[in-house]
Amino acid sequence: MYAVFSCVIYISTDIYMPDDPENFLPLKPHWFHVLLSLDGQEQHGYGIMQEVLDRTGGKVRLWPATLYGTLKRLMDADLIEESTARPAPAEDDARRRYYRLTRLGRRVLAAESARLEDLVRVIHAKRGARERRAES
Amino acid sequence: MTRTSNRPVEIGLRLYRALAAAFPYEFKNAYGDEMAQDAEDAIEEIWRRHGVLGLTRLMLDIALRLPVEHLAELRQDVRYGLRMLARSPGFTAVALISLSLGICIATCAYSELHGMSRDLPGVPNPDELVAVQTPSSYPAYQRYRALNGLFSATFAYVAPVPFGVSSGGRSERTWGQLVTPSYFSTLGVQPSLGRFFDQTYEQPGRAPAVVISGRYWREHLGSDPAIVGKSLRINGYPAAIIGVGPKDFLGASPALFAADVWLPVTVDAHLASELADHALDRRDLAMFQVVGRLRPGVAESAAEAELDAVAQQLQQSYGETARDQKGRRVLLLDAGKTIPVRRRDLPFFREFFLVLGGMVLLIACANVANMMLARAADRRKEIAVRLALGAGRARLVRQLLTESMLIAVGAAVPGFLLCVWCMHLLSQLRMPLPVPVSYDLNPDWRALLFTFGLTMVTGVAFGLAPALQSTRPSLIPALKEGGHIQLRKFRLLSLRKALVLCQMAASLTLLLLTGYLGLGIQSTLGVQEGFNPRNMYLISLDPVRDGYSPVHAADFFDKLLDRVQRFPSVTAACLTDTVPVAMDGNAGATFSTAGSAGHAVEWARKHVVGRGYFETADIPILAGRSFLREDEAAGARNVIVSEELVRAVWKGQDPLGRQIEIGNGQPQGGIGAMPGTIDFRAGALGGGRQTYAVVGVAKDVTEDLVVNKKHPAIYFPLRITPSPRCAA
Repeated sequence: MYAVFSCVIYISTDIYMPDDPENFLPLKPHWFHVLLSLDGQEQHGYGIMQEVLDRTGGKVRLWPATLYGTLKRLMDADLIEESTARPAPAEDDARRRYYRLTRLGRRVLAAESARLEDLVRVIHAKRGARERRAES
Repeated sequence: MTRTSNRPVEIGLRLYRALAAAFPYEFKNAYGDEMAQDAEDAIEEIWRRHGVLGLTRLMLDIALRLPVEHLAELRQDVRYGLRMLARSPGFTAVALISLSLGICIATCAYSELHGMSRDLPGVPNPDELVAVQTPSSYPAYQRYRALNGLFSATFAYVAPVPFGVSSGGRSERTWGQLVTPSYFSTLGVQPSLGRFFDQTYEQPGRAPAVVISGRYWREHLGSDPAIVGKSLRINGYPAAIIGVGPKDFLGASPALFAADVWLPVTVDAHLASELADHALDRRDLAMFQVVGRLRPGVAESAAEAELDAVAQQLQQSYGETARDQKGRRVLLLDAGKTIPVRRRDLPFFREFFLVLGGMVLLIACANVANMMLARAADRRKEIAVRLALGAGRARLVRQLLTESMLIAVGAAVPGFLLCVWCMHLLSQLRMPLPVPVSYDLNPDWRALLFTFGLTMVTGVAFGLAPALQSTRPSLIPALKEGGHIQLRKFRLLSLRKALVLCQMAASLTLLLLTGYLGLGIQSTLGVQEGFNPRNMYLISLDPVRDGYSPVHAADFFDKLLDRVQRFPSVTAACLTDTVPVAMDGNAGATFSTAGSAGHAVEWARKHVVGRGYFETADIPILAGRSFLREDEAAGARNVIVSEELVRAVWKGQDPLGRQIEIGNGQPQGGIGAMPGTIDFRAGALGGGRQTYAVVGVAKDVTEDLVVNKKHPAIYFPLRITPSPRCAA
């Protein structure tokens, strides 16, 4: 009886999340933008916000509260971690913490990128076929 | 840091910082500063590019994120709490069981209280309705009705009245009321079909008409939409249905006298034998319940005083001096409730039940709080470590409170379900009364809301004190001593001692209360002396109401008794009009001992019993004989008296052959065990004076409520009357 009770409690309270990137897909857009900003570099919150804004031509803005809520959840899900390494003193902003991708974070980003690329390929193929039909 | 002199930006930043400060502690600790910094860095640019819309978007972002983060933390606390509870299943089980029982009993107490003082369904402004406590005569009602300054409307009704109602060829005893035409309009209810009685029903001579309840229409008439105008056989005579009452309406007193049919008081007496012998003109026939709707601004006490004065005038005008009557003749009840009670009595019921329920809950809370304290001592190290690592005390208290809330919520669900079940059983309970008493105590949404509130209070009540005590910032001893809390040995009144004290005191009080109640019930059951209730069954029949003529009914009873007596499983059977212990109260009669000096008037219970009654009920005849067939003849004037009467009147001398004079025309309705009930049967009231001879003495039988003292009693032989009962 106790064993059953405990199992139910544990299963219901623990997020069952093995290290399989597929379990995170499709990624929420905010998560994807943050992971993409950290791909190959360490970055602080404000930097991420600016990068996303620049990268999307001002279309996507990660507002501060949303950004830090997302960072917290990405940390909890073990997709990013706080970086101990700091940039060169000239570029370092001492007030800020830097984040970087974990191994799992990189795999998730790669899997999501591949998924999106596949989608784009499908869209292109469909458009190509339609244009060819129109030409003929 | 960006310096700005822009006013909207300044206000925006101030608001943003205030909102950022309201984030949960852990989030604020990790990201609060950076978040505020980012907003400060970006706000100037947002203002420049997007203006007010941009600022609004920035504020909305943080305002919407705030509850999300709080909920996320709560979820985390709940998960942690569930894990901690799962780790100590013994504690969890005991806490859940004690609190479930506590919450169940407190909710039951609330439902019972609420069920007893529920407003009349579908009646507007029920607070304005008042009822005269004891029944009045119709002439008295007419005087009350004339007090226009007090009441905006009044009505009177006779209840409960049994009717033999035939529908679909099957006749069934249905409880109803005889009402004045203003009954429905005073209550303010509207018919769901047809119409109600109008003022023309004030005058006798109209064709019999009946209003039926929505319940009767659904259950017996198949919800026939064209029922109005059709006829129903009532006591063997046709009466036209003129209207159907609202859905849940069962009359002005649905708990004590739920009614399914209503007939006007002016209806012919063959439809309602209660109205025989010019009942509406008789000042001695107090059988009408009087209800009035007070005018706005009229105080109940003022109305009571004025009605009392009128009642006194009436008594004086009839030449009745009631010097022995103390206090008021008229007492008003709150008629807007399902059970009419005096407003001043209501707090007693309320407090009694709530104190009982609250006490049980208090014991349960004290019990769980004590266990939580003991558990907190075990978790001292865990808490000390968390405090040492920088967790705020408020945060830890909230975590511990979440655990106690989890227990409270976990206990509330089974507690409420248990309460629903108990109250359903209690509502189904039918009391051994010949009147349609029914209570609806089923918990409704109010009870659910009450349980919810109670759960929250309970959770805080048993969780807060242990949480505060166990998070006292005295880390070093807890960390040093391997996680064991050192209890102070010589402290006079610690929290745990106070809790145990409370628990013991409340338990003892409840135990004593329950013990006394149990003893009381046992002793009242034990005093049912004088007759033998074992294997005795009572069957109540009324063939005249089912359309038999009195001659046929007499014949029917003879044959019925004969057949029942021949059953091999029946040792004795008889017909009787009164039974030994009747909750509705047997009638009384005044008598005087003929020939004695001074004609001392005495009072005795009046029983009308058939041959074989004493043998069937196992009441010993101490002297003389039981009733014989010749005693039932029209001219016979023989009675049997009780031992107590002999003792009181003849002081133990041989009573056989002595004469008594009975009947003086005064109303002698025995006030029943229930307030507001009276035996109003015309036959129970005295007519002219007649002389009877005593032919036997029966052993005393306790009357009415079994705790009452013995009364003198006179037994009359039964001649088949319209409403005898049959005991077997």
